[in-house]
Amino acid sequence: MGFLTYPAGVYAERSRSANLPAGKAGAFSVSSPKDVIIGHNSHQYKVNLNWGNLNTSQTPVNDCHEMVQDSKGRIVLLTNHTKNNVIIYDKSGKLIETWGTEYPGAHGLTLVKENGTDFLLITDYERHQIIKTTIDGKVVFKIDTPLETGKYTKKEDFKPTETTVTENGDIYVADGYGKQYITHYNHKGELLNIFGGQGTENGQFLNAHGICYDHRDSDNPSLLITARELNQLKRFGLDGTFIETIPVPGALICRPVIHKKDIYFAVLRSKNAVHDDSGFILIMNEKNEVVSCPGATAPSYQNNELGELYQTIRLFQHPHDVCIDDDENMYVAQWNSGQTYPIKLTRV
Amino acid sequence: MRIAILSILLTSILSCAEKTTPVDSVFVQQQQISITQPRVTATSTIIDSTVTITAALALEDVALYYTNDGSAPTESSAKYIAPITVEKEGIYSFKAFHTDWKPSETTTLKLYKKGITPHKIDWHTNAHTTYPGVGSMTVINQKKGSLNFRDEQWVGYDSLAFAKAYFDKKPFIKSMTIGYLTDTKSWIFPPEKVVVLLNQKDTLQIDIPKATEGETPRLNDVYIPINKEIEHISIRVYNTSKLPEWHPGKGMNAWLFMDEWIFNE
Repeated sequence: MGFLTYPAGVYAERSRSANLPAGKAGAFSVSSPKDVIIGHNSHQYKVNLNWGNLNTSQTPVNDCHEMVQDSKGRIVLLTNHTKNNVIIYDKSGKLIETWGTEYPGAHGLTLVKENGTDFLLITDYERHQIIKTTIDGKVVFKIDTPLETGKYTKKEDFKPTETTVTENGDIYVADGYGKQYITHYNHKGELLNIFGGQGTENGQFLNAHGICYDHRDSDNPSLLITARELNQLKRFGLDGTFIETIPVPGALICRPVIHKKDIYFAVLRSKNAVHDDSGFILIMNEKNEVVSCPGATAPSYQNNELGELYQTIRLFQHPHDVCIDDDENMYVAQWNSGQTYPIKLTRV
Repeated sequence: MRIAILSILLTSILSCAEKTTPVDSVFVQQQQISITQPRVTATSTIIDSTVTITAALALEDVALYYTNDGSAPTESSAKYIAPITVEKEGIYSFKAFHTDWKPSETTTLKLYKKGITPHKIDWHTNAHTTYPGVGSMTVINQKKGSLNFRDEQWVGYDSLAFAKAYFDKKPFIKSMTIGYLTDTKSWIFPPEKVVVLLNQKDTLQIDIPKATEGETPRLNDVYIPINKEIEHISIRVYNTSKLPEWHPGKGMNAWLFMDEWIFNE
């Protein structure tokens, strides 16, 4: 029986579907009279499926895992295609440059600003490493499996999915495809703490996929960490103390992305959907209330409880990350979407 | 005066709107993307007296239509307004329509009439320990499974499922229906064949069509005509022994998930 891996509770994004994205390759109808708008309340968008499309033989993508905007306003995309792991666009979708051929499990991408200089933190779950690079790809340092914590017996158990960085340069790593621990390092990559682990208790995770430093309340900075399989966002103190759980029923949230006072999430898929490619976008306001779900049900609360969220239009396949630029527009990177480039949402 | 200003404003907004929606827009247009198929649930999919069917799709201004004869709904079909109560078995189909989005795929729900319950069932093989259902009576407990293979109404086998069912007073059984799940991404395939032995005398074999690549998860059933008075019936359901070439697990054996055996009067 050992070889039968499915069905089983696995956290990693699962098998690939062959279906192509609706409309991504198709021409627009000349007679179509109206741009459609997705989203709700304060956050509504028009959808551009042609943004960032490149020559697939020259600049291919496999899974588009994460995106950030750098200090120059450029859009930086991380893909696990080793011809060009990092693709840098301008906001119009024009290619500026590419680099990176050594990140087969390129997954998490975080921008680090140090004294006015941009750096990147890449998590690679196949290399079992976090790699700090300059913005043009030179390696600064690497963090390996934290064997010294005693939580890991072999290198391969560590499959990091995301990082976040505080103002003083401390780095937190989420081991979302591994043993579900959160490790805390100083700016030099020296281990300070470890917490979390696999489980459904308050301080534990099933698929600790994304992590984000939340300093919207500057007096009480904290960490927001997704427990994707549990459809929960969890808040911890910087010392690893559990603070609260924010449920998002039905939504497999990938990583929290804070932009101004709001939190944005790519939702990989809808928990109870017939089709696997049933993702959407989720946006919370400064009170951590869901205010808009582009591509999905309008959020609704009854007695302070959020109703189940699910995909209502088959626009997104498996959104994996969002990046919000300085014009409030959004870029959506997708996993397992048939090697498609990101989708741009223009705020209206 | 106020009305005049309002109408001027409206005109300018409308003309502005016309100018800003050029036909070569880079944005997604109306009727380019499909709606997600409606979510359809029933109080039970086995009808004892009546069953209530609820369809839902939480998208503003969406309209749901349905049929009860297995045909694909159109905007001329019956409009779904509120949960519907039905008495008859059959295939109920729902589809969503909207001015901005292309119609959804059709969601179908098959309702079965309650059958005769055997007084005893003896299992000669066991379900896999990970997917035991709710015990040895799972397939005759009058409860169907959902599309989620983790639903406890499913019993999962990775080899032959073999049982013998016994009936009181030798009832006339017209047919038997074996409900199963197809979810190829989760390695759950239709049975290869079903062999039944009636009253230790007559053997029937039904071969099942194979699953195809890209098939969405669905509830299926095997229909076995019987038309006999039955004292006992031996049932062998064979799992797919080799996953097909197109599957990531090609050559390995597949899961067989069954929810209900219905013995129809």
